[in-house]
Amino acid sequence: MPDEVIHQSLRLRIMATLNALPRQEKMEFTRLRAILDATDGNLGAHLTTLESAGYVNVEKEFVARKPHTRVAITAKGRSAFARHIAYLRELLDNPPTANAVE
Amino acid sequence: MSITEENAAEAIRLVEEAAQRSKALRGYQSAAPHLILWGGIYAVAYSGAYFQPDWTGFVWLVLVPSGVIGDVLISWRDRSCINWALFAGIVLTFFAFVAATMSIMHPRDPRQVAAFVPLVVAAAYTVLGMNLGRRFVFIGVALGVLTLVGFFALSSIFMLWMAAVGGGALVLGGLWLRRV
Repeated sequence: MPDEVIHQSLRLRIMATLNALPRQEKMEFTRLRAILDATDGNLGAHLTTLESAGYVNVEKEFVARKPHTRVAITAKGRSAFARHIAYLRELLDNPPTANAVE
Repeated sequence: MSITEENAAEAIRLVEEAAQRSKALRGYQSAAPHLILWGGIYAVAYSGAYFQPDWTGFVWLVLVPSGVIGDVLISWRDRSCINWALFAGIVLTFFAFVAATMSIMHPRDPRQVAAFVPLVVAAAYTVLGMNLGRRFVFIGVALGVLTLVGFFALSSIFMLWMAAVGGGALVLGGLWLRRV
């Protein structure tokens, strides 16, 4: 089954970007925002959705009195992402007879 | 939730693009401090070769191992997933290749050696960049072209040229790699 949380376009790109990092590695929010060419608000909202699902971990701390946010994909997020990609590939490799899949 | 084949193909394309971009930028970020370090080493060593030619060998003898140690420390701090055996293999192969080539070619002019090493480095960046990201290719080509320009067109100040332009290119390249 497709993962509704992941499939939205920006969330899919967030997950792909974070999934490409080595395990345990975090990415700064500002860097992620620049890579995805997203706005603060939009990225923040989608990260909250992914965090609520347990797919990413968002850490906020103050460095030299400045807020510093870092994001990492969780083990649960990696598994869910892998399952979703496998579903998409399966759909492409063995397309159903009808055009759409429920 | 309904996903068509077109949706799936578009999603896979987005995922592949994002993953490739993420990996390339991660590589750039990891490589940046190494380039800045070696840019500084080039600047100091080639300046030494220009102003104190008698000390050239000694300067390189001190700076090259320092640079390798610096690379190890930077990678350690970066917590990169490093294959240390591979790292040692690359360093040893590089020095063995340069030493073997020098022993065959017997360069008579120190400028030949001073141009050869950056050309090998430039070729390595260019080749690696074909797989790791375009910015490495650009830096490799720039370093190679600048080295050749200095060698053939500015031979009287070649060492100074390499200190300023060769070292500068690596430092600027490193700063560029740090940018998203």
